[in-house]
Amino acid sequence: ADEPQDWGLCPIEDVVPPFADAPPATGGAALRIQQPTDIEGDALSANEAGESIFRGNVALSRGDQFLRTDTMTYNSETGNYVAEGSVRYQDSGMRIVAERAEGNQEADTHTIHDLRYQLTQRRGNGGAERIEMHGVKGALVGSTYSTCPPSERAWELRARRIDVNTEEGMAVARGATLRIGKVPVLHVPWFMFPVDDRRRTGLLYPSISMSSRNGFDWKQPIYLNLAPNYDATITPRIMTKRGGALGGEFRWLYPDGRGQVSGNWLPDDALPRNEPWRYLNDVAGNPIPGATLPDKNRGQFLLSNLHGLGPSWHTRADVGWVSDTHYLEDFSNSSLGFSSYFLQSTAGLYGRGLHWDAEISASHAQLADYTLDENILPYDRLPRAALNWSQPFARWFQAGLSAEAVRFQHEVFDAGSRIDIKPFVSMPLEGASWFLTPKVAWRYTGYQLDRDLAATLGDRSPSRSLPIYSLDAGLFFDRHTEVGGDAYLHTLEPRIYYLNVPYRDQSGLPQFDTNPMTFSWGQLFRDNRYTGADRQTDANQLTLAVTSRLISEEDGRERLTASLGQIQYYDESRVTTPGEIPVERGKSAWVADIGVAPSDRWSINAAYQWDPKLRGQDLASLRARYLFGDSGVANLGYRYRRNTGFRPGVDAPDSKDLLEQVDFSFLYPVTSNWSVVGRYYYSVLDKKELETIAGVQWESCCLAIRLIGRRYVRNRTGDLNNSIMLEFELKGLGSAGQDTERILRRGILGYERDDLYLVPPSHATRGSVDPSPDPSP
Amino acid sequence: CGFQLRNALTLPPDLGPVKVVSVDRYSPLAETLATSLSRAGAVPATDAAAPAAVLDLFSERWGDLPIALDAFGRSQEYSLRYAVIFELRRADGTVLVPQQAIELSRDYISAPTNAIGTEGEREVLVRELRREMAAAVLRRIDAVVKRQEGGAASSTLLPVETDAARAAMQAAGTAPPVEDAPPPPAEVKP
Amino acid sequence: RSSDRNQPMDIDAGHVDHSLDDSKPATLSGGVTITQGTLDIRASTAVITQRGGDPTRVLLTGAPVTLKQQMDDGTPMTATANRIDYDLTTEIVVFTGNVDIRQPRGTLGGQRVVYNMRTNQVTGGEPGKSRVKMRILPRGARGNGSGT
Repeated sequence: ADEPQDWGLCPIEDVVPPFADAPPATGGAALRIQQPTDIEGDALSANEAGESIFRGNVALSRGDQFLRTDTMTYNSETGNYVAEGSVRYQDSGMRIVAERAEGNQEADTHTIHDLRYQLTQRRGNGGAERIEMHGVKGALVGSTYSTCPPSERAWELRARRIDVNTEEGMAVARGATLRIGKVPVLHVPWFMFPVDDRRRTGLLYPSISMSSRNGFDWKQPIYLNLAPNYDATITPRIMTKRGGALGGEFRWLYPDGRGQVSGNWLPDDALPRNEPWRYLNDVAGNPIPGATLPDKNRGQFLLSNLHGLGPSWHTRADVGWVSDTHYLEDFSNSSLGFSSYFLQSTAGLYGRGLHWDAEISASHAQLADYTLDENILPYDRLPRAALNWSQPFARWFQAGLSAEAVRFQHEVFDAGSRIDIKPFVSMPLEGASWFLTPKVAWRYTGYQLDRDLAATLGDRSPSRSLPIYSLDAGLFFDRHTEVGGDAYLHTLEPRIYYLNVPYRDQSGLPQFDTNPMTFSWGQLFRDNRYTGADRQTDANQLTLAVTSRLISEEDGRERLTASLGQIQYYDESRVTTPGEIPVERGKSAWVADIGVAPSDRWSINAAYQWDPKLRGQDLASLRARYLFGDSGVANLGYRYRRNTGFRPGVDAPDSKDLLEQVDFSFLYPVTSNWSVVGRYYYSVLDKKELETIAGVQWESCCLAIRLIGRRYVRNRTGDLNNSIMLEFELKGLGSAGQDTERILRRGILGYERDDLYLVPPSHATRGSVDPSPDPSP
Repeated sequence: CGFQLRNALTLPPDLGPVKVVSVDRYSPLAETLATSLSRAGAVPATDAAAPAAVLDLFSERWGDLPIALDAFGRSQEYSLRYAVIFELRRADGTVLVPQQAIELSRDYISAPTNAIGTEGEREVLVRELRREMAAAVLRRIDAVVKRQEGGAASSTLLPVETDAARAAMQAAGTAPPVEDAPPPPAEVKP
Repeated sequence: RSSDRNQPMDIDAGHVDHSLDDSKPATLSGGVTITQGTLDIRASTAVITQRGGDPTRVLLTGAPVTLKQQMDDGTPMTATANRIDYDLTTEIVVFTGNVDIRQPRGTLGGQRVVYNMRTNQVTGGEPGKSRVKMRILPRGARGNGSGT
């Protein structure tokens, strides 16, 4: 659902100012019938028909209704009344100024002629030739509606008739013409729109767009408010060039958990038939044997839920499925995005206690990228059982165990099952400003391999067991200093980490879920170079590292963090994964990380790795972000990474560098109405822009117009695509044109301040735990 | 150059019992912080009704953002980000450490043609980020508390043991919380 | 009721200053009660002018004067005011001073209200000086008689 509109740019002027003399409204429309009617006037007289005539700023009030007029003729028998002369009417839903009104108090029906109105429960005002009201229902005949102030009528909906039901909170306009400025933009015979923000079954705003691939694209979401704790949205969609589709989403919430399932289904998609070569030929253009056109029953399915089972245990499932490997590209604006290449589904039972945590789960990966094939997929873990336990004992010691048993399966390769047990004992000695933690662990890993894999590796149940000795020690120094007049605590934290693991020949072990981890600051203090248990690095190495911080003593914010470290390898590390070069004796790359946040608006992070052996840099990364105003942001990023796994003479020469990219993006509010957005994401290595965005946004009190030009990688063959997007957002009514917001939020980090997670502390709302790690919608 | 060995985090004696409150019922960070605060001498608040100092974790949010695409638009490097907004209030509601946000991030490579192991690396990073966050929160409390008592290490303060940030690393080390806040999402990261 | 006029009028007072001929109006004081059919008036003083033995005008004052009567449709009407001027010939009653007229249908208040007993019509208010207020009770609340 879209967030509440931000009317910040609107003048504070009311179209129909509140009536100062109105008594406090009591109750809503429904209660009116049970409340007395008070009429007051300067003079009361009677006419021949026996009706009382009030004259002289007459005031009629009943419950939440209030009417003021010059003269009022009232028949107390029938309840009919006629009010004439500067009529002003107000109730809990709207305020009206008119010349004449008549109606019947008993039946609570009122008719008011050539009036101006303003809705009070939400923004909206306009005029009408006539309004007929009956209790909670109202019909505006020959009327106009807009959320813009009269002084700046950016858009207006003119309708032959608008039926408003304030109880249902919906309005239906008939014979409506939408004008932007003076230009009639759209004529709609029938058009329903909400007049308040509550959840109720009904149509949400349609999203209409045009594109060369989909043709005319009309999505009409229908919201079903099934119950206070579960609801659904069904989204039929018509794409003239491709066919019809049905999207759906069902959300549920209950005391112990919550969940959501969503899906999309195309019985028949014409796109593959329109562009067959994309499906039948490979990236280089030669035909793929046995390729078929995926044009029938295409779709996607996503399930995620969390269910609590008491204080320690809960189950969680995240399951995804796509119908074919072109789906993500053909629906590139789908919520799954375009940059991923496989769908990892997991489901499991997770538990946690003071000294332990455990998990029994299953995970499966499905390929979703046609330029790759199944052999890049990670092994499925059907099931995986893991336990981590660690507890202090006997005053000085800490003992524990981490164990994992997994049954691996893969669509292409043979697999098997593996058990990995790592009991450990450590002695965490600590003083006020020092710590020394020797730790001894024993790791046993055993396999039960399928026949063919056992044949290639030579042993059906290979195993490996070895001790791991490590020592982690550090000192803490600090001093009070002053920087720029502010008091800071300046710390200096030297730290050493010694690791000794004997060599074991692991060439006979399979590679199910193991790869060398990205060399980083964290890697300096890990007891294994690899993720996963298939490889345990042999090591005789010492890490020397130091961290220094400047912490503001006034509010505890860390204004500067700088750390530097390096590993000294006393022996060569001979354990490798297939195709990996062993780590030679000598010094590792220097690892330097610097984080500076001089004020809440600045945040600069730099990381640098220099390899003394190659006298070259492994990593050079700079990310700077500046927040200006209350919505402006500028990001600058430079990133270079050397391919540390590069084998001269073996790998292609141009794969020496992994990536070198520059990314500059900004949202600059020029004035309160005009703002400019842009992104320039250039890959120096490939000499190619990966995404350039240039856009301008004009926003006023009730209308936002965004014009975005974008050039981006559209498909896996890497060719770029230009697209111009124009979006009119009629605040309070809906938006027409492409949804530019999703693209801008993904392209410009911080375009939506909440995406920065640094939700300005001022209005951090409770309950904003966002378990899904994916920021953009 | 003025550096001297740091003396331990000493919580103000009048702080009284402390409880760590988090928005997420299963927040491992809250548990880690509770353990390290008690190691730093704070009395854990057991009786829910009694007024107690509150370390309030307003929001914990994870994010896993592709920060580098390859020439074909496939993501090849991710940045795992963890942001927490917290505040430490005394029992009477007055603020000891003002509400503020801490944002940590770790980058990791996930090459399209060799994606084995990225799941494992992500889990390792989550564990390390949690430990680092606990230490960061305590460092901030330490800096503010030290300034409050003018840095005077007086004996009347609680006989307190180790440096809480270090304790946090310990505590986190002992019960490496299962990675539940950032559920392994469908490996699809738009 | 319109039939009240043909009923005998009983006047009871604490003290009467009465003259035989019609030259000087009679002044009753010390608590006056006038009843005529369903009409029942209570006041502290009353000045009755007569012509030919028949009362033509009654001027009542009190703190306040109360006037009760049953309408033709059987519904009761209770009126209170500081001063009531009842002209029997024109059957017009003029209430002045904190006027409050209650009927099951509603109440009417103001500083000056004119009630025409023959046409049942009520008019009121002195433009610029005082306003007239009428309250119409909702359908449901009407049945419970006058004293709301």
